[in-house]
This record gives sequence, C-alpha cells and structure tokens, in this order.
Amino acid sequence: MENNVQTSKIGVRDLVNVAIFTVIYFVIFYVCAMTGFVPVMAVFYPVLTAIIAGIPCILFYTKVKSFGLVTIMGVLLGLIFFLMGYGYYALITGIVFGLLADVIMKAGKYKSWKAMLAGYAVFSVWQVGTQLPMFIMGDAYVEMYRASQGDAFADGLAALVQGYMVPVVILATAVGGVIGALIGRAVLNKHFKRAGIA
Amino acid sequence: MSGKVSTNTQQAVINLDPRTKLYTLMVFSLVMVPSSESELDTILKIVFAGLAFLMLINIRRPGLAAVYAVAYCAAYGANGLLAYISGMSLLGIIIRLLVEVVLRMMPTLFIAMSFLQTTKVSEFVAAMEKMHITRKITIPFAVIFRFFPTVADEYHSIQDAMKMRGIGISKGPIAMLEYRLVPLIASVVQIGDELSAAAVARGLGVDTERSNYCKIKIKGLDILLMVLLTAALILYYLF
Repeated sequence: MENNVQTSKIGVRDLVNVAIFTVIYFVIFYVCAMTGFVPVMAVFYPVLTAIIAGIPCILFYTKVKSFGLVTIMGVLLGLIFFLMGYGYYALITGIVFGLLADVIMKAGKYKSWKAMLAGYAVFSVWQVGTQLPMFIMGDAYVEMYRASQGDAFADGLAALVQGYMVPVVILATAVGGVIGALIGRAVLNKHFKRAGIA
Repeated sequence: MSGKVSTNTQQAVINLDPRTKLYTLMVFSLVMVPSSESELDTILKIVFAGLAFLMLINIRRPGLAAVYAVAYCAAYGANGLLAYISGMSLLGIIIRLLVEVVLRMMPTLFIAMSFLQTTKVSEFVAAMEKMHITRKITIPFAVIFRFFPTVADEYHSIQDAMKMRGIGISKGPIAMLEYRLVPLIASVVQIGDELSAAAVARGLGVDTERSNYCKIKIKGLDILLMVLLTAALILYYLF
C-alpha cells in the first residue's frame, strides 16, 4: 500500500474503535428490530435502523483511514447475530455489504462525503440477512398451514413474506441509509465537532 | 482481557471446548431454521431440542430446563390444536407465533445462552487464535464483550441526568435521540479512547505471537459431539 498515502495500516486504536461503534450500532439495531412485533415493521425495521444508526456510523466513518474497518464491522455484527442464535445469513450479508461499502469509501479515499453517504446506504443493506430466515421460514410456514387454514389465510400470510419483498426492503433500506447519513452529518456538525470527539 | 462474557459466568458440569460450543451453535442454526415436511426434519428437530435441554442441565439451570421442557411439550400440543382455531383470528395468530418461537427459535437460543454463560473472554480469544482467525477480528470481539455492560451503565447514568433536566419521553422521539443517543455515543467514544491507550500500553499493538494462560483442549466428549453433529448435518442436507 506504499503508493497510497490515504491508506494506513490498521492499528489497535482502529480495532477498538470498530468494536465500540459495533456495540452502539448493535444496540440501535436491536431496539429497532424489536418494533417487529408489528407485522409491517417485521419486514421494514432495517429502514428504521438505517435512519437512526447514521448518527454513530457517520462519526465512525470520519475516523476510518484504512481499508477493511467497515468490513470488520459487518463481520462483527453478523457474528454477534449468529452467536445469539439467529442463524448465519447475517454473517454472509455482513461480509458482502461491509466489503462493498469499504470499496466505495476507499474510492473516495475515506474523505469524500458522497462516498461516505453511498457507503453507508450500501452498508445498511446487510440487515436483510437478519430477515432471510424469516423469508425462508415463511414459505414453508405458509405451506404448512395451507391445508388446515385454507387458501385465504395462506395467501394473506404469503403476501407479507414473499420473495419479491426482499428487493423492496433492500431499496427502502438504502433510501433510509441516505436519510440516516444526512442526519448523521447534521448531528456530527451540531454536537460531535463541538464536543471535540469528531 | 480477563473479563467475563457475562457478569455471572458459571462453571458447567462438563466443560466443553469453546470450539465445540461454536460448532454446535453453527449446526443448530443450519438445521433449525430451514423447514421441510420430511420425517427426518421432524425427528432431527426434536432430537436437537432434547440436546438444548441437556445443555441447560449442563450449565446448571435445571429450573429453566424444566420450564423449557413444559413449554416445548405445550407448543407441540398447541401445534396440533391449531387446525381447530381460525387462522385469521387474533388468538390464532398469537398461538402460531408462540409455537413457532418455542419449537424453532428457543433450542438455538438456549445453545447460544449456554455458550455465552460458560465461556470466558480469554477462553474465547484462545479458541479463536487456535482456529487461526485474524486478530483483526479477535481484538474487537474481546472489546465488544467488555463494552455491552458499559453501554448499559452509561445509558442509565444519562437517563438519570436527563430526568433531572426534565427531558423525558414526552418530548418526542427526535428529542429522545438527541438527548439520549448523542451523549451516549460521546461518552462511549471517550471510554473507547482510554481503552485503546490501555491496550497499547499492554502491548496489544505488537505484532508478535501472544501467549495465553487459558489452556483449551479438545477432549473425547468434544470429538463425540462434533462427530454426531456432523452426521446429523450430512443426514439433513443429503436426504
């Protein structure tokens, strides 16, 4: 990486930073996911997380100077989710979307605001992995009850957890990510810079 | 890094290697989440539920194990009963959700719980190092374990401070974010800075191989459990 001045080696300080922002992100994510007791939110809670978690994430991105940290955050989030017993899909999406966000932000040399905005919007999509078990379970679930509950019930349930909802959720989450990044920048300028932690 | 995963790490009856516990968790997520109509699927899920029950006994939680056993049997009964309750009624939906949670999610959650409650952070780090997982993952992970309680503590302090200032839920969700989340992030970031200074002072930034005083070893029972789980996994995905 000698030819790239912007990219420095990952140090212990960076790793501790990733860890604390991952914890904050996960707490926000967990609270948002709990709104899932309302059926609509069970499908759309990633949008809510994306909007709120923009506040810590934009602060985190201003501290990122080297490639890989955003990916590590994705891996860690997926790993926590897995260790809590919710399945491994989030680990896969965590790696994929973390890496994508990292690539986007590296293109902006970790300084460009547009790259941060795009990177955060893409990163937010990792959450779809936390929902995949529901979508996967959903299908079998619907079929299990088709015989006993009738087609009306099965089709009504199927409407909520159909496969075509996945791209809809991805798109909505990315839009939520853009809103979240804008809020994050506003809070960064209003509070964090003044408090001397940005 | 001698902190504990949970504040009350228990000693299990039979201590399994952290790698075995991780593998068990992985196989559970691979088998419990998908669903099929086959006989094998039904049988394996019941066997795994039984395994989760044994794990609870192993971590000395007989009370919870008993509650779990009763809930599982009740959910199994309710599952059969569902054919007679209208699926669109509120009662039907609630029962269906509960049954789903108990039969499918609870066994995996209890495996995760037994993992978290019986594994010290240093054991976990030692296991990760033996699996040759990069320190870029293990160091943040050790910090994360330490930080969840810190975030909770800080949040309670901020909540108290805001109560004194008379800023409550009545102010609306935006104010909640600004007066709770922003100070929380600010204080946690500062604690993080102190922690990284401490970590550098302890030589965590040095690139040499570190020794760990936690001796972890795979024993006979670990191998037995891993072989059985692998067999179940192969059976599940090939047939």
